[in-house]
Amino acid sequence: MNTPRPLTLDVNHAEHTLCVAPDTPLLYILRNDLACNGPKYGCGLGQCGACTVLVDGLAARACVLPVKAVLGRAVTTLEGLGTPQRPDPVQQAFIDEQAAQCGYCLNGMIMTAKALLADNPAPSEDEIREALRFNLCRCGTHVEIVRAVQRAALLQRRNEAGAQP
Amino acid sequence: MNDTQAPHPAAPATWPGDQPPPAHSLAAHVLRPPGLRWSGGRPLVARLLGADTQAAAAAPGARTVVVRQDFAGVVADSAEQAAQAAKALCARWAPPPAPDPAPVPRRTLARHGNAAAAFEQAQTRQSRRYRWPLAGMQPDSATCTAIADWRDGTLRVWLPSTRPGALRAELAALLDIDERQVTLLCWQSAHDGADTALLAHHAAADAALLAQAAQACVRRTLSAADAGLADATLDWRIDSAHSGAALHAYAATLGGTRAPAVPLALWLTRTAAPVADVAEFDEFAETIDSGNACAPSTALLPYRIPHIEIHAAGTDASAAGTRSADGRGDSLANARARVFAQESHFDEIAVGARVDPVSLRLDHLDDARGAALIREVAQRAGWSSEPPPVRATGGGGNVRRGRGFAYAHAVEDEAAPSWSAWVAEVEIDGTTGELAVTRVTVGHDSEAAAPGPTSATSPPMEQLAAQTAQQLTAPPPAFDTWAASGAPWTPAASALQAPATAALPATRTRAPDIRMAGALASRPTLAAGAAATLPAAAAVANAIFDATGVRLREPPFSADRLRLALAAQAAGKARRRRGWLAAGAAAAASLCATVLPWRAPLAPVAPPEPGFYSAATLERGRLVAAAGDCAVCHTAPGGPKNAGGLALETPFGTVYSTNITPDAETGIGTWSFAAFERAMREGVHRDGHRLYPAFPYTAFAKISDADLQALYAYLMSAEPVRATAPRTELAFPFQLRPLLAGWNLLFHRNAPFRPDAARSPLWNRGAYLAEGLGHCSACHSPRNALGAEKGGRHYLSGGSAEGWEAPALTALSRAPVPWTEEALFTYLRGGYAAHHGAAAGPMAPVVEELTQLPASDVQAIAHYIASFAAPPPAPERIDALAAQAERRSAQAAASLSGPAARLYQSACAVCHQSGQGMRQFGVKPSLALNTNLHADRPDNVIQVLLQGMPAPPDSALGAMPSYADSLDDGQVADLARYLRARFAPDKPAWQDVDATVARLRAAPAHRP
Repeated sequence: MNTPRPLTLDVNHAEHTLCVAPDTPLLYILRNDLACNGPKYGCGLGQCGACTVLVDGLAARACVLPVKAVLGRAVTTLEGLGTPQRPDPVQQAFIDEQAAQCGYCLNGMIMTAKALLADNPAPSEDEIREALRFNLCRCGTHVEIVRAVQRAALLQRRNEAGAQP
Repeated sequence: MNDTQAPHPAAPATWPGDQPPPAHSLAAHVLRPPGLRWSGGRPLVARLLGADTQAAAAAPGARTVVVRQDFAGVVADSAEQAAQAAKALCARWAPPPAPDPAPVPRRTLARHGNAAAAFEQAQTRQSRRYRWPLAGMQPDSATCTAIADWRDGTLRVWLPSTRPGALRAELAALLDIDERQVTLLCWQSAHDGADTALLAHHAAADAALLAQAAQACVRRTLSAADAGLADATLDWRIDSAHSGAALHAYAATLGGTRAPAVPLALWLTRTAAPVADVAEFDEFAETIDSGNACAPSTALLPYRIPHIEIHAAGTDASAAGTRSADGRGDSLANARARVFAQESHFDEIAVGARVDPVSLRLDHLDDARGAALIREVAQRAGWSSEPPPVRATGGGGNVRRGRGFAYAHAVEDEAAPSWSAWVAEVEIDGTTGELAVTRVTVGHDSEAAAPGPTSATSPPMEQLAAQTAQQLTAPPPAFDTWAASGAPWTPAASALQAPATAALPATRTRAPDIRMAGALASRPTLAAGAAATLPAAAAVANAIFDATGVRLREPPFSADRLRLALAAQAAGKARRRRGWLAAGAAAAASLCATVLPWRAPLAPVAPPEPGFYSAATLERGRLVAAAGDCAVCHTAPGGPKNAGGLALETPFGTVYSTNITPDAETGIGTWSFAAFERAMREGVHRDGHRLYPAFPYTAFAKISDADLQALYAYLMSAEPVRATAPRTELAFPFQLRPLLAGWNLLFHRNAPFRPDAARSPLWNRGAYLAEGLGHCSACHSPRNALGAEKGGRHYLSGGSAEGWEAPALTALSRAPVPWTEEALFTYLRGGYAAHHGAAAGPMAPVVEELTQLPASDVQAIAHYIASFAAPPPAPERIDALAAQAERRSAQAAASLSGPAARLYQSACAVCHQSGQGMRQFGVKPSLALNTNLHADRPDNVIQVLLQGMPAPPDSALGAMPSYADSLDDGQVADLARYLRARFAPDKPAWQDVDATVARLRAAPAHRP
């Protein structure tokens, strides 16, 4: 049944109850209803990766995921990673490496890198390339993006080592 | 043998009284990962994604918060505060992992003679399955407590276990300290009722971890549910062959959930377990395998039988059954399960062979001490005399009495053998199923020298026997039973708490009359050993059979279960009594009735009052409706449930499903049960017109009376919806409904389901569900020119439904990797099997309905369907086939290029190319293994491309978008051809792909 009904979503550690049709793509809800504009609408077919968010810590393409699939799961968007004042290590690394030209793909690159580093805190260059294989960038900043992910891995490891007593 | 089995040399032996636990302890609350359960000795633990430790630490009374990997626990001043603080953690979890679908290997525990050969030659063979709830009869209310005190760098743990075995090493590893810093003390909380061997080490590890973090004394109380063991069962499958009263062969296999040996906290914190149990078990298995006789196996089977085989699923020591390698064991639960299965089975053999169950055992027993005990118990119970005298009771006219015998031989603590025998006498109210154990004669003999150190707190033998008998007959927890964790332990409440027996239902307070027999009977009260109650369950089950003819193969023997079994038995008897002449007459009558082109309308009746049906009936009806997939066809896309209006494409035209809500005008609100039953079994509307066989009354005729009544109750108690479905208008001559009378005469047999006595109960249950309610063959069997299912060798050999191909479920399946029973179960339960793909199209809502059924029913369907397939190859062979298909497709990919290849790369590869890219939310189904790509027709592949899979039954699978609006017909066809060439390179190219795309795009979809 695809008639709108109240659904409760967990987005960036906050609960939102919205009256929406359960089959609506998650991306529409995030952008239109929750004003999370980090995830971008690219191809709308799950192919370019610009819309990537994290669902229970795993990368997911929000443009093809019906919102009902994330009920009871934690959704994290780019907004949930860090703030301009306190960016996430991955965000900081992308700033440091200036790994963007037009920047449209950056949300997907950062979120996919975030998921990758959660799984594999010290990926090799080949592993980074493989992980980002299905995230498309038309400007050609791939070299900087790979460097940014390597730096992010370093930053994250350093942060964790610093946090421990 | 590994030294962890003996107490550690440095471990001071400590006993209760030496060091009672400190009077004041903090309370612990540990979060249970959602969906926690055990598979193959390992827990399926959801990943802990995050928790708000600051909020929890700020909660009132909270002392310490520990979050380590997937372990999250709180220490607080009181249990109430600990629970509140744990709630403040707001833990977020990943979805629980799916169990490894690989079949579990089997280990041989004992072998003697050649059972397989004996079975082949056997004339009378019985195969039965028995289940035992691992966590006992009241898994929800029984708890286990451990107290840990961390002081000056040493850990002291009080827990109810006299043989802590590997636990010290495990606690040391968990806390990253030396084993010498750990002291274990034996102590048991007076409020605990759980099987300590099952839970004590879990409680101890939680307490230890939190005590160290809090630098304090911490109490941890947990129930089986907290350890993910509330629903776990041990399954014994026993096969036997006998001629007359002589048993030739006996084969038993232990399956089900194994009691976890390693504490949950070690898994949650991902601490490597320091003790491997496997080595000990290997040694054990080898001594038996070397063929040096039955000696080691008397603990596994005390009887002398020429051919014996005993297996256990799994490879680790905890499956070993009677052996409690480190005292932690599941040994007691295992022994109970084994004795229950073995002694129930012996009773079934005795019934089949028409011999006295006691003499059957004595005939197969070499052990003089055991035989003497059996004789003494039988004599004291008056077994050899006439049936027990009928005593006056207030229970009314339908009271049935019976008695049952069971015997157990086990190896207790310190390898001392023990013998026990029970005669249980029961009274059963044949109407309500209420059961009372009226008298028990217990005999127990043991070589254990003195009562164990726990005797001080143990109840006397009589009390233990009475308690055991009462627990066996308690009802299983109902849907509204609250788990023990709902009522936090507080000193005030515990002071008021009565002893454990008072928690039993009030209706069953009548304690049985206990008589003692045996070598120790001269003592005023026996020191109660758990071994003495081993035969209890089987003795009661055998007594129930003696009284009623109903065989219950899973305790507890509750009134509900018994009443259902009695009703089923009564239905069976009524049919048998009719005799062949009467049955012939009945068949003729129904035949006549079927040919009548017009049937009389049945008078409308007023709908039943709300609340007319019991909750149990409605619940049963709900399950029947789910198994029958009523809502799948009777709900229009986006419409209210069961209000009808779904268009079903048939070769004869479009049939619209009808409104089956209890609305008086547009639904079935005025249908009497007689009208409902006639529609379900004969395909006749209440007003007398005939229903098209798109409504599978051909299958529903097999539904049992009780299920049909429950279904009627459920449907009539639903909310009425006023909705008129579109009229079904078929072309000439199919619009002439009276012609269906002839169709029915040709193709419909109105006969209820008859179990096949030669098949197992599981198979028969599966057959009932699949042939009747599930109506699998409605889609999966081919139909003839008149739209009737073809039977015989065509049964389940593949059909079609709503523009989708329903693949063959038999040996004709085109799946590159053969379907196994396990794969079918996984697929039907979760909508996805790794070696086959996901449930799409009209099968998706079927799986969604099946999620409402208990796992055992889905297992039964899988078992039944698997029986039509070719015998499954070995697990290694399945993996090899899968690898081969992947390799072949990788080779094919190298030779393919062009626009379709690019289309695949951009549209499909991100989710389907399992070896590439990032791990993602949802599954990455392998296309090389997909049944549809290997099918003879491209229909399903094109359907999935056009419609996508917007709503898989389990949202954890992810979703597939529809490409209907982004790819044109030519692109869809190109892509389909490419997928075939790449992923099924050994199969010929599909014909007419373009025409199929055009046809399917034009057809309406089942669901938007």
